[in-house]
Amino acid sequence: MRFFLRSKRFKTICGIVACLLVTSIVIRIIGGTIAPHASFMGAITQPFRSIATYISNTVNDINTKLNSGTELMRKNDELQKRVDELSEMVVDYDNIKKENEFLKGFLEIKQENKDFSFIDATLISRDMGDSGFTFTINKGSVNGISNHDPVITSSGLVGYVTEVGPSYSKITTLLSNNIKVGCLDYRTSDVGIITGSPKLSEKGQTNFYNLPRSCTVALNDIIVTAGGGVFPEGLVVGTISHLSSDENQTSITATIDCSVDILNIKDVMVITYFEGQGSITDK
Amino acid sequence: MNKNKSIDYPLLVFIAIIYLIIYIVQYTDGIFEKELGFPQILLPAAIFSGMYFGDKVGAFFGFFIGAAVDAVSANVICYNTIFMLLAGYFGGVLVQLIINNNFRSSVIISVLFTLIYYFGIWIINSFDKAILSLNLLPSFFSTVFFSLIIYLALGLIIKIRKKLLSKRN
Repeated sequence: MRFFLRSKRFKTICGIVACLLVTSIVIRIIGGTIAPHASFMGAITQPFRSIATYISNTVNDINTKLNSGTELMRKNDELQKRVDELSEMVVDYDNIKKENEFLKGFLEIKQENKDFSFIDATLISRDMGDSGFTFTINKGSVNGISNHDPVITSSGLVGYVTEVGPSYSKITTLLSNNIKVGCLDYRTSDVGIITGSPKLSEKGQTNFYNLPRSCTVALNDIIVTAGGGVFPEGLVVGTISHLSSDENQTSITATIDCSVDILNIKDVMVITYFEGQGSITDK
Repeated sequence: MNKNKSIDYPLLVFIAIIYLIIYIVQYTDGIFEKELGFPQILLPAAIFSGMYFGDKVGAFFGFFIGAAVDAVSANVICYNTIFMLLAGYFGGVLVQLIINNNFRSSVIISVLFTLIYYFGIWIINSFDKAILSLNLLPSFFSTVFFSLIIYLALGLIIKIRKKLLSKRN
């Protein structure tokens, strides 16, 4: 045993582990970059992952088209018509009108916010072992992406960039319990914090907590980012699907159905610049 | 037991290619489903490298496998690199010093390291019960299940290789 502990190889391993620990701590302090060795391996494997993703998507598309595409599309059209009819009967006209106006406004974000700079990116890998569905995109620092850049789709907010490599970046999603986003209810302007939960993430839902007991939020209210710092204001996060009190009965917590289907997302847009963009010091 | 054995480089390259394929399949979106737990197949693969090729090769494979996983994983920076480096190294050391290199001991070591690996993630996640029950436990069991398949498959490859070499000699 003594011989083993004194062996050159054991000392070398201990040295490497110590170096990795120091690297880990330094990167944790600096924040936002992928460790050099991981970055190196990521760059080497990125072309393989891109090809594999492309093949996987193509096979899925062909499979859907060949096997069940036509039938599914026909059924989907029928069901969609039925849903539309029922929606018209059930949903209050004023609410729909209000929501439509809001969503229409969001679609015009691009035109209205001339200050936004976008980079489109494709998902190349996903950490399925993570309850927050963290994923990697095929663009990195050489494309102008930097740490904490918001990530969106046309449906709303997805998350933000947490680690940047030269040719790829890691995205922490709204479903992760590591994210905290200041948001507000679009109708009532009640302010709270969005964070993920392992219990909800599988259903594409997230938590909206720290709402005051006096708030007037209601089911189906639309939640948007409050702005300031990492996220521009007004990005759609989702709609409230459930309301409850916290354990101490001091505040309200809402469950949010994310407007973006984060579990099946393929393409995203990274906002590399917007007016008033700041940075967070720590999550 | 690996001390006096010269390294079979063609076999190593072949095993490395298999690991690359496993890595790509595991982390390509849409191929692996999450429902039954996400197995970390590359962990038993790193241990296997140590057990069959020695601690040096085990540490080498463990380092690069861990770095590749760290490039896409949401875990703490360097966690996979450090853990898999140590797993690969100690896999080799245990075979040399304590246990026999057979299927049973491979599985026992693999289960042990997998347990420590997920326990480490649980600590990082501040002992979150929801993450343990919904994420880590299913992942642990599926990793153990896939460990058996990995050891059988890689063991078979090595047997075939040995037969081929003995025929050639």
